[in-house]
Amino acid sequence: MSHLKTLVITAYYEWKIQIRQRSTWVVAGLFFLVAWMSIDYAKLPLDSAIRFALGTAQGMGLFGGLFIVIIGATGFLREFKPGYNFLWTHSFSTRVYILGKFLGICMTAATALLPVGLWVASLMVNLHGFQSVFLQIKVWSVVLAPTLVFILAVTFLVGLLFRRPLWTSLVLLLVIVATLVMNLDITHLIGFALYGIYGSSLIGYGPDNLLVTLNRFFYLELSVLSLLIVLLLARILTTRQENKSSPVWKLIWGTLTVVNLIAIFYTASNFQIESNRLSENPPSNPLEAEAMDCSFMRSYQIDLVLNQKTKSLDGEVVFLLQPNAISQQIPIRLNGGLNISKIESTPPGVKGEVVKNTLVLNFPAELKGRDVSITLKYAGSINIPRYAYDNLFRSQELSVAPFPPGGYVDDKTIFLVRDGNWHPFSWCALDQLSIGWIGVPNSGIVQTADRMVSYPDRVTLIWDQQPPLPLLATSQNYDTFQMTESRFFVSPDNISDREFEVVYNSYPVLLKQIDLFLQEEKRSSSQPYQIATVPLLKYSLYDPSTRIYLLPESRDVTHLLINENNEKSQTVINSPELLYRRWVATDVLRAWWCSSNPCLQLQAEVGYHPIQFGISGFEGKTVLDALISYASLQLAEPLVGQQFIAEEIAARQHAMEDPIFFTSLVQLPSLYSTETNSLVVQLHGLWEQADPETFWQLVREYHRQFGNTSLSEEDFARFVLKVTGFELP
Amino acid sequence: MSIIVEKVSKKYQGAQSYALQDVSITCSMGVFGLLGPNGAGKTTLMRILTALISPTSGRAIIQGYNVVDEPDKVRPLIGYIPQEYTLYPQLTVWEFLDYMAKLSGLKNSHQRMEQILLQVGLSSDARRRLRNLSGGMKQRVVIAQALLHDPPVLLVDEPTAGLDPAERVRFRNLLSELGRERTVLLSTHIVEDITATCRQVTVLFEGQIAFTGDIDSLISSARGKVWKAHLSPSEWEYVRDANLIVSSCPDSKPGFMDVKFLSTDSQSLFESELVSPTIEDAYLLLISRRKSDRESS
Repeated sequence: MSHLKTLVITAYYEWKIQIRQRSTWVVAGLFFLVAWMSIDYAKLPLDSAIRFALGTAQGMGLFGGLFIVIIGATGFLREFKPGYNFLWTHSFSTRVYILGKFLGICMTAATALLPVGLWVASLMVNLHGFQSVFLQIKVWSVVLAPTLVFILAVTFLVGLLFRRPLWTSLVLLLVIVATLVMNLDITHLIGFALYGIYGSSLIGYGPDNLLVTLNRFFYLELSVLSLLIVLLLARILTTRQENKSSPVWKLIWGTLTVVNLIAIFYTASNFQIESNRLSENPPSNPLEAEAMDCSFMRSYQIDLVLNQKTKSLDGEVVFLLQPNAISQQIPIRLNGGLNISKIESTPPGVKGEVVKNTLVLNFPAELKGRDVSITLKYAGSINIPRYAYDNLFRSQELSVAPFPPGGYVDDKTIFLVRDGNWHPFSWCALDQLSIGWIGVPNSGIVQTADRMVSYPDRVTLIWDQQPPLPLLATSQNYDTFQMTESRFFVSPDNISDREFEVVYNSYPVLLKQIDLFLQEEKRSSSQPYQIATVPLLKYSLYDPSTRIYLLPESRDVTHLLINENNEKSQTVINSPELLYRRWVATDVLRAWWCSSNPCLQLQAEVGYHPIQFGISGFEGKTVLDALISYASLQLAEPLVGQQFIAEEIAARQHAMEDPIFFTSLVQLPSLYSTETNSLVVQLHGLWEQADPETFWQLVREYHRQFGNTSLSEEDFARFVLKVTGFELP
Repeated sequence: MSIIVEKVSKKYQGAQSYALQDVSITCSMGVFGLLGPNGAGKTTLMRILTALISPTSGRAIIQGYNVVDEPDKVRPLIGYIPQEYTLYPQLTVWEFLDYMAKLSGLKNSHQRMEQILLQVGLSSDARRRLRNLSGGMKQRVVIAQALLHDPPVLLVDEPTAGLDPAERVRFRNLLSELGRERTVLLSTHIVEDITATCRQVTVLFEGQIAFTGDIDSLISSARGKVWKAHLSPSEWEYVRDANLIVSSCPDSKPGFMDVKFLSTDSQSLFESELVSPTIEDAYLLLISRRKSDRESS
């Protein structure tokens, strides 16, 4: 009991002494200033709450770390100076006193960071509403607290060895600065989550949750170990006489040390296991699925159950083939978290096994040439490898590749798109798909099934033919909004209310434009568009038949919406808002273009970040680029106006004549080659010669006949003449 | 006996010589003086008695508890007023005492704090920040923290250094008052402090005991060795070179001096008279003898 009193009183007075010290607030103020200056206020309104909370937490980890070193070293070593000898003659335990100091300095840091926290919270409330403050508290607690506690524990350890606050601070500040120079963070959080902490409001912190959690526990355990060493050394290195520890205390200290060491070992091993699980290597060619053969398969059906409670998938794949040899090797791409448990055949007798990425089937001789149905039973959890996270720290090929698993299941959120390695032959057309969904009722489900059957324990969605790319998306975390004729399912705190309309209002207009000019199968106009944000997706997916549009949750549109140089310009083409609408038009048109047939290369090019443009691997699509680019410009007309169209055409002409123009801030034309720009200008000439309907007919015909194939310019000119009766100007 | 020090020696790590060597003293109720020049080992002894360091050999016992073996039992029995101290400038007097009281595990500390503040004359300054107090007031705060838990033994190390005369007198009186009901070990190099407060004294010189006993005995040891003379310039030069001068004052007659000096020889070369020694004379004589013994050895 007396130890507890010592602990509390020491912590309290350490806190009181520190917060009354001017230097504490001077240092805290300095860090506040740096933090304040490091925020890009222009981009702030478009930053999601979780990204903002993560960014500020990581920033404060750095500034807070420096702050902790300074106040920790001075606070801890203060009473070791001879002037405080009188204090050590009072009756208290050195160990408890040191722990009290530790607690007091933690309280000081929390108090000093409080103004920064409140300031960040005020920004959050202003942008994302009061609820987002809880998100900030959660993120800061996870990201910031263990880092600062660890730095303080190390400061105590180094301080006890040096016994000089200045030396202690200098050594640790050097370590921190050196770590930063090496582009690492102090607690190696980025190292644990190599591609950055994925921040999604729909799926918490993202697929690397466990790694982050293990990292945080690891550093808390290291902090405890550091403190235990400090307490041990304090008895050895300080001259103050103390009674020898009683056997009970020795037992407590010993047990604590052993438990801590076991915990460190346990955390490290679990980290290794989890890290191995997530460190699945990316495919050498991320777009290889497009080129894979399906001719061996006569039909392909999937029947599976997604269980949100167990976050697992359980199902079977049935495919029909006609063996032409007694042994057949079939390429198979199944998610690392899923395992094939059984291979059966009808008629029986086929022996099958999976060797690496190949399904080896051995047929009895009598089955050669006959129809054989193969059933693969498989189950597990969809594993999201770390390379698949949506961020910028990857190779260009990976950054434009589709999201390989194609699905995600947790207890709150679930989504599935057709092409993903959640089924073994994602490049083959499905004849039937049945998905049973066992989960908790959500506020809304977005799905493209032909039929939906409800059972007491599940809902079954059935597609009777090749399903569209979007399959289903649902989340307890969705916020739903109605805008004109569209329902939006968006992640909470994804974007500020103020910017919500700016970011989303183009979609309904453009989808309606597509229905008006491009969609040949007209749907009832009463059917609303359903636009759902989906985590981890790389690019938009659209199913015109159900009017369901899946939108990537994480998208950095700030460079389009915020551009100070452009804002100063008088021309409308430099208006960030119009440029954004223009870009959305391309995004929507490409999603529609690829809705029936996957065209990954085309989709890939629609990347919204500048570094994803101009990838050398996707050359030779001048005609397709030009057609989609110009068609999307005309589709965007209600949103951008005639003047914008005229200025874009002028800019493209300018870009053709003056290559330096390429580096100018006029963004869209500069993304395309001279040939593409030239063809766009020609298409504009055609638009002016012919009537709009003739042009839209040309686009529809091209889409119907050639899909995502790009004709040569000569063939295209002939095609234009044939469809429209006009020569390309 | 409240304090028993038996053959205590201390040699610091890396030091050539002992800071304390075979020191033995005993102290009972009252104020006990520990006198010695700077570097004599007084502070080392104090630090051993307060369990801040351990002796190399020997043992120190306070109220029956061995300081090395049972420091946790010794601490509630002692109050320590150090030679140099740093107080928390951010805290008020009241907060500081509250902190110390709670660190000592004191119950009902507020009542005791009020008593102590009254005793040291700081009742009206309880809410003032420590940074705003004068040197004398800070000294009283340090005394207050030492008395909070009402210890039977008070260890006072060089307490009056840096105090103005009025504060020094006030402090001495306070020590005498405190010595009425507890054991006070007063370590100092200022002889006046001892004269004003102690009956018993131990003189330390270079880590060893040069004298221990009552003050009268110390004074007696200088009887017949303290001289006073009115000296011409040539006599002054002779006396100055051959003896330890205790005091000297220029006369109104140019070149002449009124001098008090220590000498074991009878003075026949010039007119001089024996005077009664003071404790300061005795202390200086003792130290000078020790120095000459060391030089001759």
